[in-house]
This record gives sequence, C-alpha cells and structure tokens, in this order.
Amino acid sequence: MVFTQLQVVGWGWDIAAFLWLAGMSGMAAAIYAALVHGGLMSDARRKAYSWALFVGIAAALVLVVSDLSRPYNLMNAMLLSLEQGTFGIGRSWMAIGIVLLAIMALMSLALLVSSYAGGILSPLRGRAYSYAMLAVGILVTMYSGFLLAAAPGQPFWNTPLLPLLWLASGTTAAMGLSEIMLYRTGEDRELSTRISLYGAFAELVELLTLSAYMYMSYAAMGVGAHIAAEQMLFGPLSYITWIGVVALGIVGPMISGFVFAKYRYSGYALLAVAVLVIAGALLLRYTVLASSAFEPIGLL
Amino acid sequence: MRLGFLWDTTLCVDCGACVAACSAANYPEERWMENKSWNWLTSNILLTYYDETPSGRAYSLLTSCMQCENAPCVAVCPTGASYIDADTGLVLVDYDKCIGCRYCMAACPYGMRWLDPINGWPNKCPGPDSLDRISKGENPPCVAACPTGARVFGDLDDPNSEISMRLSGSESIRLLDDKGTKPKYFVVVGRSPIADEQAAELQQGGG
Repeated sequence: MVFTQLQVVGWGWDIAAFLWLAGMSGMAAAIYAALVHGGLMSDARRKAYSWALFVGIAAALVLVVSDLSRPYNLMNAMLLSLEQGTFGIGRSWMAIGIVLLAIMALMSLALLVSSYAGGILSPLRGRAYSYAMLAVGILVTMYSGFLLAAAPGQPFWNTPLLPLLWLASGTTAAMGLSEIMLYRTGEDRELSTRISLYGAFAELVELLTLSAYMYMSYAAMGVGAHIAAEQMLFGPLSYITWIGVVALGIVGPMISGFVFAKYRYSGYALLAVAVLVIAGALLLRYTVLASSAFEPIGLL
Repeated sequence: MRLGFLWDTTLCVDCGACVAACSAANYPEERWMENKSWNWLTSNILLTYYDETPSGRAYSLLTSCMQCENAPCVAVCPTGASYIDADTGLVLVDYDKCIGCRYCMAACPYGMRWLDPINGWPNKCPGPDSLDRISKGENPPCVAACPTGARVFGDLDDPNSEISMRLSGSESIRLLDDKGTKPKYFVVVGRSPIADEQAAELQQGGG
C-alpha cells in the first residue's frame, strides 16, 4: 500500500499557491533590484513593483497561516519556543522560512511606504536597499525548495534540483509579472522585449531542470520517487503536467519569447504569454506537491 | 534508558486488539471518528495487509511511531514541539508548541503521524494514556491487550528486560533502516523463543 503526501499531510492547492506567490514575489524583488541597478526604475514602476511585492508576500502569508491545522496557537507557540530556546532557526527550514517571510513582508511594506512618502524613507528607493531585497527575495524563493528536499518522508522531493527548479520557475513567473506591470505602467517596447527574451532563457533553464528532476526521480531515486514521478508524468496528474506546466507554462512561452525578440513585438501577445507562464508556475508547484508519495514499507 | 517496541510476526495473529486498545485508551472521544490521514481508525497503530506481494506470500504489517533515535520529525519541527525525551528516549510532542504546519508528517519516512480530527495536532505513539501508563512503569495498552505476547515494550539498555532478551534470541529487522533514522521499533521475523516454546509444547501435547 502506498500513502500519498496529499492524503497524509494534505499540502494541496493552498500550499501550492503559497509557494507560487512566495516564489514569484521573491524573484520579482530580484528583477526590481536589476531594474534599479540599471537605472530603469521610474516612480510609476516603483509603485507597481512595491504593490506587487507587498500584496504577493502578504497573500502568501495569509495562505500559509490559513493552512495550519492549529493557526490559533501560532503566536503562543512562537513565543513559547523563543522563550524556551527551542525555535529551530538553525535546524528547521520551516523556522528559517518563517523568519525570511516575515523579513520580506516588512521590507516590502517599507518599500511600499517609501514609494509614496519621501523624507527619511527615501533611501529605501536606492540601490543598497534593492540589493537587500534581491538577497531576501532569492532566499524566500529557494528556502521552500530546501524545505521540501529536507523531508525524508517524501523521496520525490529529496533532491537538490528542487530549490533550483523553484528558482528557475520563480524567475519565469516574475518575468511574466514584470511584463504585466510594464504594460500597465506604459509600454516600453525595448524593455518588454528584453525581459521577454531573458524570460525565454529562464524558461529553457526551467525546462532543463525539470527534465533532470523527472529523469532522476523516475530512474534513480528509489521506489517512492519513482511512484511519484510516474503519477506526475503518466498518472492522473499527467494532463496538468504536460499541458499546463510543460506545453503552456514553459515551452510555448519560451518559443514565443524567442520569436518576439527576433521578429515582432505585440503587447497583447506578451500579456497573454505572461499569464500562461504565471499559471504554469502555480501548476508546477501543485503537481510536485500532489504527486509525492511515501516510500512503501514491506517485509518481503 | 532507551525505551522501544518489539513486534513479533511469528506470534501475531492479526486480531487487531492492539489497534483497538490504543484507540480506546488514548482517543476515547474520537473513537468513532475517522483517521483521514490513513483512512483508518483513530489509533496510533496501523495494520496493513499485503495480499499481492512479489513472492506471492500474503502477510500483514503492524506499524506505529518507530521512536527513532535520529528522528526526522524532531529535526524539522520549527518550534521544537516534537522532541526526544532525555529520560526515556521516546519521541514526544509538546502540544502547546505545535502550530499544525504538518512538516513532521511530511518528514516521517514511515508516515506514522496522523492528524487529530478535533485538535488538529499530529498524533503519534505514545498517545496520552499510554504515556501516563509508561510513566507509572506499566505497559502501554497495545502491549497489555495483546493475547499472544507479540508486542513487547521496554528498556533496550537493560539486558535483563523482556524486550532485550526477546531480541537477543530472535532474528529481527528495523523498517526502512537505510533511512538512517535509527528506529527503536523492532520487527521479529524469525526464531522467536516464545514461538519455539509454544511449538515444543504443542508437539509434546500432540505426541
């Protein structure tokens, strides 16, 4: 008998959405830093990014807290563990994540306030703060990959490829989000096309990482990982994987990105592709979570 | 002291008394609810039947928390709610510190935690009543209820304890030993001294 993660643990759509929002916001912070570094950050863009970062990370926090089976005990448990010195900051990726998410939420809020109010907060619009946002954003994107990889009960996740897949997928989703924000704040054809092209390269990296992950899980990581990979590639989740994640979420946008860069710019087409990439990132996280299974236990 | 469990497959008759005793003693209010994590009773012990095995030989498996010395559930817990008791070596949960993130459930290689339908915490062996009995030096209900002596609980550090003597006289395995969790739940798969004695008695009685 094989127990699935979805049945025993119950990390489904809500946790997938949390991972998706956290990853996208984290890498959007990295893109924000790149734009600030390149002198491409107007006031309108800063406001759009700061709203997107804050709303994204706040929504992620709401989702993850709502998924707790004892949310009412969160504050008490945190205070108690800090008081007794048992908070697992050096031991548990969940504890590291709690700290990172809290820092990201506070930094995003500060950026949002600074983008409207000047005065003593104006240094937060500068490069130094954007680099700090970049560092925290990348960590927020990757930590959940390490969190899953460090769960011995789920052999499908026990691979260093998972944090890298999260990084690549978070980057492509953040590129898509950037396309939408650029479109909303006034079209900048050159910048849009550049982001689209970089996004296509990121999608190529994501495709290669996902392929390596699937191959290793299917062929070389033991029975539990094989069962999970089979479920994701050929089982009930295969439609989401092949159509939603691979075709519409990665390969289609990648080809479009290269085509747009070489031949023709279309704002509406870029928007449509951006939406597909963002949706694909959510579906990827759901399939990785929902496919996972425990290692079968037996005597014979 | 290192407390652990032994389950003897050569003596077990799959009656399920241990499963029922655990549920009745530890979760009386949830007795008629469903353990949705395992599609099972609200018990810390899971009985699994294997009808189609590669060898063609059907068998059953009783599993519960393995009381790992290198417990992944303890390592991943963000608040330290899961911990190894220094006095007994048992893996315990401080429910006041549990936020219900369920990372321990995902981390356990044996899938031996299940979500409490009332309180939302990840239940595991030993349950509250079992722990109370253990603290008084008694056997947990699953051991007390076993009609064939297939379940034993005791101190692995004491060479004169029943569990140590039974282990020394039999062939035992630890499940998913390659995971490096150092489980203290031993499955006896051959040459149990009690089974030998019973077989000898039967042989003598039957001529």
